[in-house]
Amino acid sequence: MSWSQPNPRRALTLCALGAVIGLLIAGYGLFTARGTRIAGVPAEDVALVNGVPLLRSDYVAQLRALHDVSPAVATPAQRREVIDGMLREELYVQRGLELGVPNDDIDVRAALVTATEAMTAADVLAAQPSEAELREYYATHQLRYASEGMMLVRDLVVPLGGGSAVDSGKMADGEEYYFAARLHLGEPLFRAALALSDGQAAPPVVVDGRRHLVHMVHNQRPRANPFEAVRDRVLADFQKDKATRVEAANARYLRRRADVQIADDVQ
Amino acid sequence: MTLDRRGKRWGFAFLLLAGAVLLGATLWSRQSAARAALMRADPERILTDPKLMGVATTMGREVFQGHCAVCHGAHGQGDPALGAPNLRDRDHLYGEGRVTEIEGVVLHGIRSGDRRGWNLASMPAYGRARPAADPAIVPLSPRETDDVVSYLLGLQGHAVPAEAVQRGKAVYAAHGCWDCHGWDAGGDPAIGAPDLADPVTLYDDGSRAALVRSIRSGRAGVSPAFARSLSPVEARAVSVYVASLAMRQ
Repeated sequence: MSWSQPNPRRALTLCALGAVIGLLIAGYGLFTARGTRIAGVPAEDVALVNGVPLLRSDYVAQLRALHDVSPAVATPAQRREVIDGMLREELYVQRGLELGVPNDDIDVRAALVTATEAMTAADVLAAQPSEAELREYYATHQLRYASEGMMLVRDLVVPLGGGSAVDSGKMADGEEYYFAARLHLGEPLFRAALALSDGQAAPPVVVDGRRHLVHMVHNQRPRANPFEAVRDRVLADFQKDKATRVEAANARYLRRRADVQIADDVQ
Repeated sequence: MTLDRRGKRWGFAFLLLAGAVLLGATLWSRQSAARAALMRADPERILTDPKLMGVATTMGREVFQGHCAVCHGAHGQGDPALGAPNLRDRDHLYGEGRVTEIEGVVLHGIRSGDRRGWNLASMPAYGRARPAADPAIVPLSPRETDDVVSYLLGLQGHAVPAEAVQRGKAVYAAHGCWDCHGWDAGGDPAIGAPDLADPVTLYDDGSRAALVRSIRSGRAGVSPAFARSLSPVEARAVSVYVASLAMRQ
């Protein structure tokens, strides 16, 4: 038999041999974890556990956190401790998934939900909005960025039967934010004070059997802060709102994609 | 004759193609080797290795312009309006400026939603009825806020009335500002609490009005987590590049 001459039987035999070898490799890869391993660990990883990479950045960060050293100066024992800890964690995570821990353990379920939501938020934060988008957002939500109002009032108490007026001492701290003044004065007096301008006095208000005279020294109403002064807050709120929208869309998409069957009695 | 000439032409084309493929493969393999070396090297030692620094800064500059410059500025000078710190000085808000720490911020961010990021503390809004989630943190009155600011301006070397400084110091102690910023107001890089005795402030121009605004409205700057949008080698390269910005000063 000459190799330079065409031979149909030989061609078929070689073809079948190739197919069998291919199937063997595929089967080995499919049914054994070792079959899927690649030659060597990628540079960005320190280990592969059943094909799952353990990141070098995590290894370096753990060396720093546990021993405050960088990889080059870490002792073999320190390196072993960190890598052993990482391997153990990964093996247990994988085993936990095999055992269906996310289905059984409420803490794991809650952590998975939180982590998935956080991942969505993290992706939103990584995309920076344009200046125009931020300004438009600020314009539509300007009230959110108003400063808290402040007031300095005198609250004089006059006994109902007559007598001299004395300071109630409710505003002894001096000028206060509106929320604090409301707390200290009480709702009826605060409402009376809120309408006053600097130097004005409110008609007497009777509270708990005592007549109060409220005199406004200084009333600084809430003021809209300019965009430049609150840009960081606008950015944070913009991204928070966007994350909420993306999360809602995500939930809708997951619901649509899933095959959900609900029992008749709970529909 | 014609066949011979055509054969030569094909042979030449094949050689040319093979040469191009070989050159491409060599360049790709050299680049891959350089990137692998960057990943396998001790992050802190890259800064003293000219060859690795060359690879890191070239790639890092490109990543920086694409992902970081929008807040930190094209040259890393920062943006006080956003509270994006200047990356060219040796003052580090988080950590000590190590490549590893910068890489942690690049990958996992600050208040980014990534639980491996820096999420330990935020500046409460002391001008609100409920300054923070922790009910133990109570609001400051406008006068108390002014006094604390006087205290801080005094620490920064500004001329302020001594009585206001004393009152501010008392408020600083009583309201637990020291819990994050330290008894000497020197800050805490473990949680990203800035040094309040430094006249160069993270936000705005460091004026009285700006400090009052920070205390009243609170601060919670965010740095995004790029773990899912940058490759590990890009994250390493940009971290080295950022660390090198401070070294140039």
